[in-house]
Amino acid sequence: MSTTSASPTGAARRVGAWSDGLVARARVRWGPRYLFVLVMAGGAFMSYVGMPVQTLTALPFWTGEFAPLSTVWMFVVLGVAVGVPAMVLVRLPSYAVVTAHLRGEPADPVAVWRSGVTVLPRVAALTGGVWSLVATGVGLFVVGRREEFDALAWTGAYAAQLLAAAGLAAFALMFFQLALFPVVREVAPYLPADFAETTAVSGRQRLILLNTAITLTVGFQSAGLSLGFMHQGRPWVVAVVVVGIVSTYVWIFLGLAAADVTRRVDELAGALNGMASGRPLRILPSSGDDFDETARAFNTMVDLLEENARELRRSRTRLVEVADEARRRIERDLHDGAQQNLALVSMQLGQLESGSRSQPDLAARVHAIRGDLGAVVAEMRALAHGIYPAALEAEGLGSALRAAARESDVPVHLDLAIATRWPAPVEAAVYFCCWEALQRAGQVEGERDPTVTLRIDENGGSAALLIALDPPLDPEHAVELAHYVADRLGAVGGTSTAGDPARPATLLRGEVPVR
Amino acid sequence: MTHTALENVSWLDRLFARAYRRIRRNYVEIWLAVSGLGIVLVAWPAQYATLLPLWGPAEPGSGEFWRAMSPCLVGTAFLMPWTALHPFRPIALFLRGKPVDPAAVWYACVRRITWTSAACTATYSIPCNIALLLVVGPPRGWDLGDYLSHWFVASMITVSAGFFFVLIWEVAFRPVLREIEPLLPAEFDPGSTWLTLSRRSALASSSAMIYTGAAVASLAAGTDDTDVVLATAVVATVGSAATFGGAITGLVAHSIFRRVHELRVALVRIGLREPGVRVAVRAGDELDAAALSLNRMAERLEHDDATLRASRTRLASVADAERRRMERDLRRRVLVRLEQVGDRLREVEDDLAERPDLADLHRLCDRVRSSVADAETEINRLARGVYPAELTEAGLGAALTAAAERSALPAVVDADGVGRLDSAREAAVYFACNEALQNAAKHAGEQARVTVTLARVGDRLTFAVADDGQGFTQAPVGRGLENMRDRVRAAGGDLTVKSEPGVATTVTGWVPA
Repeated sequence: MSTTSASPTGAARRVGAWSDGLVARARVRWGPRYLFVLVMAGGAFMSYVGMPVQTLTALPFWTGEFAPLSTVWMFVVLGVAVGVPAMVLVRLPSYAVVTAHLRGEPADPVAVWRSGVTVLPRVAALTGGVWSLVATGVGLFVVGRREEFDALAWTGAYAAQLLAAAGLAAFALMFFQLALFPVVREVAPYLPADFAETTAVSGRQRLILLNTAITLTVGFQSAGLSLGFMHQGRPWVVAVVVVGIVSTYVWIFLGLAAADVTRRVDELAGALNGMASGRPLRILPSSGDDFDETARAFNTMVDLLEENARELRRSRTRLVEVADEARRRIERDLHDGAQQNLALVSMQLGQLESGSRSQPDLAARVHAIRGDLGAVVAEMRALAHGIYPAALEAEGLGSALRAAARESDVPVHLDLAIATRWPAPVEAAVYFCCWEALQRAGQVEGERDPTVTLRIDENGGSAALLIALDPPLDPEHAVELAHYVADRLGAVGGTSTAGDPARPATLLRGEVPVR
Repeated sequence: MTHTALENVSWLDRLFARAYRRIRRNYVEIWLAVSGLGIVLVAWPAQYATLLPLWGPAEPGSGEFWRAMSPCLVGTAFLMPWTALHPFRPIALFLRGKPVDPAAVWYACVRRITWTSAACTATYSIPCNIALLLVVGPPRGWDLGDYLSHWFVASMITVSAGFFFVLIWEVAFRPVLREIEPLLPAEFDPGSTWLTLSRRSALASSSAMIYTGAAVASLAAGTDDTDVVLATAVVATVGSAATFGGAITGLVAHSIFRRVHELRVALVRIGLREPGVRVAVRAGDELDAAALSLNRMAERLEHDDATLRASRTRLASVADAERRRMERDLRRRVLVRLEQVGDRLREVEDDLAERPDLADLHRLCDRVRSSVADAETEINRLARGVYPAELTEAGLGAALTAAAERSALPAVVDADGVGRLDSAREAAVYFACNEALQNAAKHAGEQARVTVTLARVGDRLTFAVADDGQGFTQAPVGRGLENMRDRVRAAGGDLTVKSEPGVATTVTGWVPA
């Protein structure tokens, strides 16, 4: 049962089972005729392998001895006559849609998925049923007439055959599931997002059913073999043959069935690991069983968490934008309101001073007051600049940073390679990161005078920012500055790294998208 | 670390859980005794009744048979539980409340089961099979092929029995595991197990097939009558399919899909952002690899979430601090100096008042002084808008009362017993309520009244701004509301707005106190 699907983004997983590789190669090799080849191969397998084995083991069960070669041949012929049409018949309803998909014609992915997954248990049961009804029925009639079965023997033998056919149905189920796996994987990405169809048989039930069916088959086959060997008086031969049958079944069964569970688990683990390393993936539905439900739970979880993280990021960006907007507004209010008021005062004081020229004493006092007011005006201008530099909006990041460097208390090395204007939030983010570094450098007290280096390189759609403070800030301030830079740049989609704290200078590097 | 402790999902789990509660102290010993009795009363009779025909003519009822059988039965009943007693000792000690390393109990419950079961089965089956072979085998004059094939079949059946014990002990010790898992250290490494999922389902299928094949073949060999063979074959096969399909495979499916279900539950809970969800590691097989990946993922997601939240909170509090600094600078660096200018102007004006000859200058000076006063008012207004001084000095109640007084609508503030919070949370609540007040003034209508209520409820500070006005559609004020919500969420709380046109508007929210 091969039922997983690779994620479209290519989740790194081990699709280990050799059977997967085999069917994948067959799918590529046969292309549009894949389903046809599949049905033919299934029919041929049932006719040339299933039928003789069953005949050999089942006939002694009915007649007490091994079948003569002519009878075995009769069953093989019957198998060819019945097996292939049976296969074609049960696959027919979904043949058109799957073939259309294989030819590359538009096909409803849900219909293809259904014929590869949902209806499989029914197809398998039908295959087993038709097989035993026709092939075994006809065979029994021939054998029964020869041995002159009574009604009871007839019914018993037929019922036993039906039960044994359960093993066949189990095999058919596994076979089709494996073979249609590549097809299911191809259509899975195109399934509707809310697709949540399940099979009638859950993973747990399937495991139980398959084991029960195979146990039945093994039981009847070993009974047949025992009966066949009964007159030879060598019970250990029976033991060895039974072990042979069992190991054959086990290996076929395991090659198909055990890989089913582990593959799905590996797929889930791969997706979880992807999430753990920051690569969100989706798991595609592929068998409608318990694992699909888990995959859906996983996908829902990824959706919810991604939405949550997106909203958190958006909310952070909004917060910063609102705060920057508030600063800009405050600066504008200062400029349009208080600074105009002060300008008026300054002008009126000028009038007063010139009016009082005849009174030198008074003029001197007014002059002194003008001086004081000048200091207030300068203070106000510096304050407004610190709140939001008018140049940032009007002339861009370069001018604003040059102005900030001129007014800074510490020497600043500017190395700016800015080709274009950037979106306002990005310019503000980078400006305030640099501003914050200058503020903090101004507070450093030490033997050496601090210097700040600010380097910005615009390169294509992004810009690299380097802030270096020498001598370094004390660790606490360095961490605060690093946080500030990381937060501000993060809010506009950028990243930043803080240099080694053991280095002789505080070093911060950032990168922001500027388009 | 909380585990996704699934409740007992199946009747089997419930059965064992009930037994566990009843006989907790001697749970291990009693289960081993029951297992031994099960072998003696069920497995041995079933095995030998079906296998003896294959072996030889000794009748199950003959004295010879029973002379060999009796010591085997007694030996089994004693040897099997005794072999398992030592490996399961940590569990027994744990159940009696003795101090014991949780990891050792975990190993005994999970990893040691496989080998203990193998050892138990070997302990009883090797001596007993030898004894039986000696008694039953020789009369028939077996050759080497007979011996070897019987040994082979018998060992295969023994492996099936051993596997059955693994499965049933796993279920039996699950209540113990559930208690021990929360005690395991965080860095506990389950290692890797031999009994992987694929081997588990391989063992389930092969043990079912081997047992069925051997039993049917053996029963068939016991008689020459075709009808009897037919009948026994049908009965044995169907019986075996039912037993193995139902029991062993059911247990295997249970042990696999129960854990798949557990993973699913954990995923759902993580999706709902429940913190600390982890899946307990069970056995070190493929599903445990998935569980470890899930736990790693949960850790990473929680870390990412926490990092993002912390960054948002820091940005909000930096912005608040900036506003507080601006307000302080405006007052201390500008306003105070401007007031000094005003004072000195007043002195000049006073002097001019005594000089009627300079009336023009006096008028001019008076104009300048009123301009200075205007500037002071303007700066004061601005500073208050940047960050209300009352909030820093007297807290939320005073600041909101002041804001309500400035509001265009009549507003009542009830903030009794709210006390002080850290400044980031106070600012978040203040600006949210202030925004809500301004919204009410814009949209509630002229007749409306506004009530602002603050209260400490448990470890939260809740706030509500309610008007009795005409409400508003969310669209025109969406941006403001969103900003309010962002701020409050950045402070670790949340905010909701209820408003419809024609109906009163209520903004409610909380922050951690």
